[in-house]
Amino acid sequence: MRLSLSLSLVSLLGILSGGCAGNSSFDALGASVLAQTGYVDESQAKGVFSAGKKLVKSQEALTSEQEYYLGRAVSAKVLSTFPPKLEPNKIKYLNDVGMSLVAVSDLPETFGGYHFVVVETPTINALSAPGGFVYVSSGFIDALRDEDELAAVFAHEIAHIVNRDGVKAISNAALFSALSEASTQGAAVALNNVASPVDLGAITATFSESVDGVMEKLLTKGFERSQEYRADLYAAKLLQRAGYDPNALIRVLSILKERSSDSSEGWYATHPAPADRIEEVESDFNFPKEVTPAPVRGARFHKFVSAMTFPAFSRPRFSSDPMRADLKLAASAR
Amino acid sequence: MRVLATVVFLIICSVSAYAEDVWVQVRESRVRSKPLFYASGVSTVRYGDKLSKTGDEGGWAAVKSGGFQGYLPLSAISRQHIVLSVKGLSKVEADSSDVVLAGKGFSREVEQSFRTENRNVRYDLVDKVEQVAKVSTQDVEQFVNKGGLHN
Repeated sequence: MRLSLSLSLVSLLGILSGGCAGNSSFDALGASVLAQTGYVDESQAKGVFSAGKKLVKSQEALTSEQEYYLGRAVSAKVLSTFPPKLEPNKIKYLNDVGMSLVAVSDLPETFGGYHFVVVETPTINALSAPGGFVYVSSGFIDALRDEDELAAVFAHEIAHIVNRDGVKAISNAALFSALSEASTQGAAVALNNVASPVDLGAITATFSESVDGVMEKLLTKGFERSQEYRADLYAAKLLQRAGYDPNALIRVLSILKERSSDSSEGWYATHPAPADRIEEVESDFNFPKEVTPAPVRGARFHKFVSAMTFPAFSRPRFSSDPMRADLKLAASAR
Repeated sequence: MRVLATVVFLIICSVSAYAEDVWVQVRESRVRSKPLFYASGVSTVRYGDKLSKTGDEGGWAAVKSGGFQGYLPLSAISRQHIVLSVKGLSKVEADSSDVVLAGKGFSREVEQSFRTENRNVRYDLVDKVEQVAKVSTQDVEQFVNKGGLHN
C-alpha cells in the first residue's frame, strides 16, 4: 500500500515535472512535497521524483511488447464477431501481398510480426490492430479487382500501424498507467531492493479500458480525419515503393464512392467520405499516369478469389461486372 | 597530408563516438548481411539481447555483438534498456533512465487476467492466426520477384 502510494506520487509528480523540464527548483520542491507525505525520506523522494520525470520522457509510445498484447486483445474481440478464413492456400497469398509492403515500410518488424487475414462479413471493411494484425472483410475482397487494389487496402492499414494510430486511441491516463507499470519498477527496485507488487486488478482494468478505446475507434468512431488522410498518403507512397500501382488506391476509393449509397456501415461509418479522401490524397501525392502490372499479379489474384467462397451477397466478378466497367471508366476519366 | 590525417582521425573519432548500446525489442529478428529486408542472415537475436549500434543506414542500424556484425531494422531495436528480469538488476541500472522491465505493463500476465474476465473473447483464434498467417522471407522474396515488384 505504502509503495503503491509512492508510485502513484511518482506518476503525479512526474507529470508535473514533465511540464517543467529543466527547472531544478521545481524538482526540489516536488521532492520536498513527496518527502512530507512521510512515506519516503528526502533522499528517496529525490530518486522517486527523478524516476517519475524520466518516465514522462518515454510516454510517447508503448513498448513493442505492450503494443503486441494490446493488439492481441483487440484481435480477440474482432475475431469473436467476425470469424477468420484461415485456409492455408488463401492465407499464404494474403500474407505474401502484405509482407511485400511491410518489407519496404518504416516498421518492417514488430514484436510478434505482421498477420494478414480475411474475416467473414459482407460489409466492406478493413482494420488493423496495434502490433501488426490486419483484417480485411470478405465483402471488401469481393469488391476488389486485382492484386494492386488489395495491396492498396493493406497499405492503408499498415500505415495506421506504422503511425501507431491504434495506440493513440488510448486515453493518456491509461497509457501513463501502462508505462509507469513497466518503467517505475526500476525505481522501485532501486529504492527497496525488491520489485514492487503488481496491482494486477488495476492494470487489467487499464488494459480493458485501452482495448475498448481502440475497439471504439476501429469499429464505431473511426480515427481522426487527419489520421485517415495521412494513412492514405503513406499508402500511396508505400505502394509506389513496393512496385505496386499507386493509382490502385484511387481505384479502391472509387469503389467505395460508388458503393457508398449501399451502406453506411464498415469503412463508411469510420472513414471520411471517399470523394474527400480522393481529393485530399491527389492534392498531396503525384500519381503516375498509368502503370501496367505484371500479368502474373492478375493471374494469382484471380486464383485467390476463385478459391474464396462468397456468400449470397456477392456481385458478379471480373470484367463482366457492369459496375466494375463503370468504375474503370470513372478511374480513366480522372 | 596533415589535413588528411586530421580528417581520418576525426572520422575514426566520430564513428567510435557514435557506437551506443541498444536492446532488441522484438521477439526475434534476423541480423542481415546488408541493410535490406531480404538480405541473407548472419545471426538471430532475441528480445532483450544487448547489441552495439555502430551506425544508421536508411531505416537500418548497423549492429555488432561478440560473434557477429550486420544490420537490423531500426524498428527491431530500442535505446531503452530492456530487462527481462529484476534478478541481477543493479541499483545503478534501476535508477538510470529508460530502463524497461519486460513482461510488465500490458503483458502476458495481464492478458491472462483479462482472459479470465472475458471468457467469451476468442483468443484461441488469435493464437491460430499467429500460427498460420505468416510467410517466410524467402517466400515473400520469390513472390515479389515473380510479381515484378521492388525488393
